[in-house]
Amino acid sequence: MRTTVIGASLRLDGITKRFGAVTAASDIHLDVEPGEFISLLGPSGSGKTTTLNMIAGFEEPSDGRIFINEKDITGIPIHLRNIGMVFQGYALFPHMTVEKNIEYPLKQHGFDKSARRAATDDALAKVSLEQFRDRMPAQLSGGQQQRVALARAIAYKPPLLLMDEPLSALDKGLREGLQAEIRRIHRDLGTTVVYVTHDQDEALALSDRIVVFNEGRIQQVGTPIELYTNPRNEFVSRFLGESIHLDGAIEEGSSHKGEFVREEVRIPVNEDHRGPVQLMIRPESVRLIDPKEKTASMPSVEATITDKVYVGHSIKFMVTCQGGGGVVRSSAAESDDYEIGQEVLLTWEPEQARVFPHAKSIA
Amino acid sequence: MSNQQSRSSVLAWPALILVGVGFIVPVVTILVMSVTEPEPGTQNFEWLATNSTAHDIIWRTIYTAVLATLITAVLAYPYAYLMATSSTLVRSILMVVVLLPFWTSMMVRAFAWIIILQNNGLLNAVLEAVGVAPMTILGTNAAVLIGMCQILMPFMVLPMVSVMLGIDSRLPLAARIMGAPKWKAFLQVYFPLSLPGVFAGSLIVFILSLGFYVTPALLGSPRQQLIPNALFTQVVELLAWGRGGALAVATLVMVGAVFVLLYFISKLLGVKMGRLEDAGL
Repeated sequence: MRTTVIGASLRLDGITKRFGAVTAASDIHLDVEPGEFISLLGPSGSGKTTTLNMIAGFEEPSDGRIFINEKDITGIPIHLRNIGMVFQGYALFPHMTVEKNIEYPLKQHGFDKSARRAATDDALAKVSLEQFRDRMPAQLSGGQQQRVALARAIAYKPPLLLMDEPLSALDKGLREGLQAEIRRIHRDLGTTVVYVTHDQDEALALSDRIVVFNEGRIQQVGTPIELYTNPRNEFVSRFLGESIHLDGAIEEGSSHKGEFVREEVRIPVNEDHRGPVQLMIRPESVRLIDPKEKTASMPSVEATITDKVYVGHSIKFMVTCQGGGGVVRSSAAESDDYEIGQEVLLTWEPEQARVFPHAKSIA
Repeated sequence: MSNQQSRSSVLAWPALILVGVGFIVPVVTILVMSVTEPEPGTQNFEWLATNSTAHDIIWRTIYTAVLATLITAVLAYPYAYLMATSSTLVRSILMVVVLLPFWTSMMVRAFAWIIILQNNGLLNAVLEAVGVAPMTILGTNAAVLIGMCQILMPFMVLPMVSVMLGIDSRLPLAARIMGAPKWKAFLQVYFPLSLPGVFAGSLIVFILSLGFYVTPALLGSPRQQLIPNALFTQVVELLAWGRGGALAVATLVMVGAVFVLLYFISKLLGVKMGRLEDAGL
């Protein structure tokens, strides 16, 4: 049975949270579309959980407003916000059976007995736990508890569902299974999901869009592909996926808009910025070549291989060079001859590179 | 294997010997005396069953213990809640406040209460100052209760705090985001989970209440005796070891009855006895 709810829109209008002298979240602006699956991604202490807590009402913003379906909910008590939530570590009521746990929000929202029964059956079926309805939470495994928590959060079909690192306590295999389950439930319900995680793979796998947080600020908002191919700064490029970073500078070029300059190498880039920069290339866009095969037409940078890891279909090389380094991936057939300690040249198509103003030059 | 077992059981011997000599032997002696002194038979229990003074003493002891348990539970719960939900610093301060009187002798505290509660004492001075007629408190059961509750408070607070600290602080938040107002989240989630602490504290306080001697002797009146004081009178003043033994048996029966009662209540409420173990029982 497909029981679609209309997801709510969510708008964060410059919300800020200060704890004494510490600003945990600073001037957060975000528009979430109805039915969208959006992840707040960042390292611990980056402000993602604080932002989620403000949406839930567990923390009052020091500044700014929060709108659900264009209704200002900033000062509204937690229980009147009509939000579903899955907590880190599940937060199941240990003194209630699985069934009573799932019924709890239904009771609070005034469902009568038969409606409660139907909604509980439906939620249990969605997470395939029908036979566990009379168990206590302590009698379930971690993965089962997580599915009960999920069922409890979706049973009353909230238009907005918050998830706070729901899978972080589970092992890898279980995590991937539940990711698929969460994706399916999201598709079925059409509810808007705000998902907090520090796991980039999880965010990439689940989200329509990802919001990258660092040091209390939003670094970038975009689809997984946008963030991967077009990161706006060094933090985003390093946090999402692997990459090679090279120090250099952008100077006025002869025939192009600008040239990335690094020792004797000059590479054309399409960039207005002038001055010290960092150049970023994703691992699959870099080619390793033998220094003997150097050609004048291809831009190249000298590097040393420091590590070599087989990952099935490809080989991952760690490389370092003057003022930079990172990861290169290339197909096993093409590059098996390169060994640790070997000098190589790195080369890439100019349009695959991204340029960030150097952190020092910003300061 | 058996060698190892016998070696480790040696470690328990000193404690077992102490319990055997210091506890089991005297208790059994008392039980035997209750049916052998002054002559073999049930005359001591017949006295207990028919003597109205003995009845008064038993009932007074029970309701004093029940009241002391209820009063300390009601006073201790909010205090323990505050402790469990405060920062570590505030919690430490509150802990010291609970334990401070605990480190003072019971006798000293009873005398302190005499100074406060006597007819021209601090309490009546305060009552007079606010225009309330002075009253006699010292020498009544009320004075005994006040003194007992103050002494028993830590025994109620500590098990409660230890259980409350084990409650996941996000559970009430989870209830609230699911639509429960603050008071409902507390009543339906936090309170039931804190009950094992309440039961554990109540059990300890009730049992201790049955055995108070110094406090009733100093703050109460000989006309309103409790079992321990009556027992003392029987044994030391009247040399009626048998009747003293019968009173001791009555106390044991009460403790056993309360254990059974609490066990069934907690079963009824679905509280696992394992959680009582968490509270130190």
